[in-house]
Amino acid sequence: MSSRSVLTLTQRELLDALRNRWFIVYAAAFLVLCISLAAMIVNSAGYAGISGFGRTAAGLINLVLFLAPLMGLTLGAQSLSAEREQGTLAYLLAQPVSLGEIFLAKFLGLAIAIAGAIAIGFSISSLAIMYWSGGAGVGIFLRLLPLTLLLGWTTLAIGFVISAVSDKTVSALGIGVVAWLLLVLIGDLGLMGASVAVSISPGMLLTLTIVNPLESFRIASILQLRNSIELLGPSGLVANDRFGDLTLWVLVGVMIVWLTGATMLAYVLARRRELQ
Amino acid sequence: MEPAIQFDHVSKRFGSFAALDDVSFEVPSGQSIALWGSNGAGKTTLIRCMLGVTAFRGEIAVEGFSSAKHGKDVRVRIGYVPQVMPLFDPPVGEMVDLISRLRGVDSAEGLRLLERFELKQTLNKPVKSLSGGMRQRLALTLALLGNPHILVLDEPTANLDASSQKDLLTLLHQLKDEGRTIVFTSHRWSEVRSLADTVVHLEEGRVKEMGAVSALALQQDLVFIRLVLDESSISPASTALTSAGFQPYSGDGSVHVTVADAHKMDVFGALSAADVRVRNFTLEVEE
Repeated sequence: MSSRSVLTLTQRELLDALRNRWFIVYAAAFLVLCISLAAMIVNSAGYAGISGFGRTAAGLINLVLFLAPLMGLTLGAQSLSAEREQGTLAYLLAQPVSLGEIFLAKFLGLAIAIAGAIAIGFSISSLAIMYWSGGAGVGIFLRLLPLTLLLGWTTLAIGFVISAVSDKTVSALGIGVVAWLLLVLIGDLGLMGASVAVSISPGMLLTLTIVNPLESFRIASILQLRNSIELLGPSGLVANDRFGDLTLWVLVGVMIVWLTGATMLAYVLARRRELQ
Repeated sequence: MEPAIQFDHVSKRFGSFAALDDVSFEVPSGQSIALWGSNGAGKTTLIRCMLGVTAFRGEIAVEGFSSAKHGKDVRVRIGYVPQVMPLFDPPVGEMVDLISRLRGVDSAEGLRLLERFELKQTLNKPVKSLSGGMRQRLALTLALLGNPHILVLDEPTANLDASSQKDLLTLLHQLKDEGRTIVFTSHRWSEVRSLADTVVHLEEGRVKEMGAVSALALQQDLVFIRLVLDESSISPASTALTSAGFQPYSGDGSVHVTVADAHKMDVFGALSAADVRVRNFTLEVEE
């Protein structure tokens, strides 16, 4: 694998991402919502002091949970399918580069673009908080940044799997949005429904919950921000009981397994399809 | 002297369909070879095998490098022009820079080529905003970055108007005169006759005949018919013409067929028998 080719193609992918109107919309929406939240944090601190922290932290986690996966899934879903549909992938493959180099560069380019959008959103919000209130509450953004990046990249990898098997960009985007709904809403509700309908042991329920990378993110974020997940109720206690001090690392591990597994699966599927 | 390209018992299957079946021939250095045949004859698949972007059985050697084992080394040695240059979003200058860097050459070479092919004024225009003829000239510019000895062109004039076809052919003649090895596909006999030293006639994935243009059985008074059809009629028309023994080529909302002048009415007879309605047609005598 040539690092020169990967670097060249990564730069191209970054430039393409900056031209992608979907990316621009997501990045702008993320920034605006982060700043709004920053304003809320400042107001909470003003009126309720530290008691406002829980509300703003929950707001930030929910904001990230909605937007970062939507950005990762839809940008990932468009990545290979759009190139395939436009004929640009076949053209690039006729150049002295390998599919592995193109794939890696596309992933790196989009991962950097997503990281940039998240980092800009968090940084400007932090600066706004520092300007308005002298810094109280900035820590929330800083402590949540690594987990948010991991969530964005994990969902990007899942988006790549969708892209690798889709013929058309429109259908890839559709599947990406359905996957987002499944992970954000339906998976959660379905698990709640299933736990009522079928008797599921707390341990099994915890396992089924954290298999969803978004739920792993949610619990890990709460743990990161509050240093305790007891506010999650019995499931938090079960998690504490099962994993103890390793809970955060188990949750991060689940997300890393998703990230690496989905990326490898996407590459295998893309290779089978493009080079057959 | 070692041939520029050597195809040795090349076979490629898609499931039970044999796209290429035991294809063997050589392309001598500096020669221009036309791959001739109907849709599905295996021309594009052979090009993809040669570029090393698809798996196949047999062996293809490009200037001594195996396409199967050393695809990147092979692709450095080949300048590739697709049927249609994809609609890239970036400006022309950015594309030239990208391909230059991938090929390990100075992008100043790209600027010289843009000037040669009268594209320098398009430097800041998005590739997708260029006309079809300009895009194909850009594809040729990008294919020549790094000065490869071998040019591979897949139906380079298929979607061009008559004037752009003529311009591109003139450029290809210049490149041939520079001593480059050229492998191209075309469904226009006039192009084949004008540019090719040798024709490889592929049918159903096999080499049906091969030889100098003047020596082939294909050589006769030919006419090129472009049939304008409803979108839904294109596939039935291609099937009907193939069944009747013609070699149709479908693209840009029409079906093209090159046929001996004496049999031109048989084309319409075959379409009529298959209940395919022809909305319009043009007919050119192949010179």
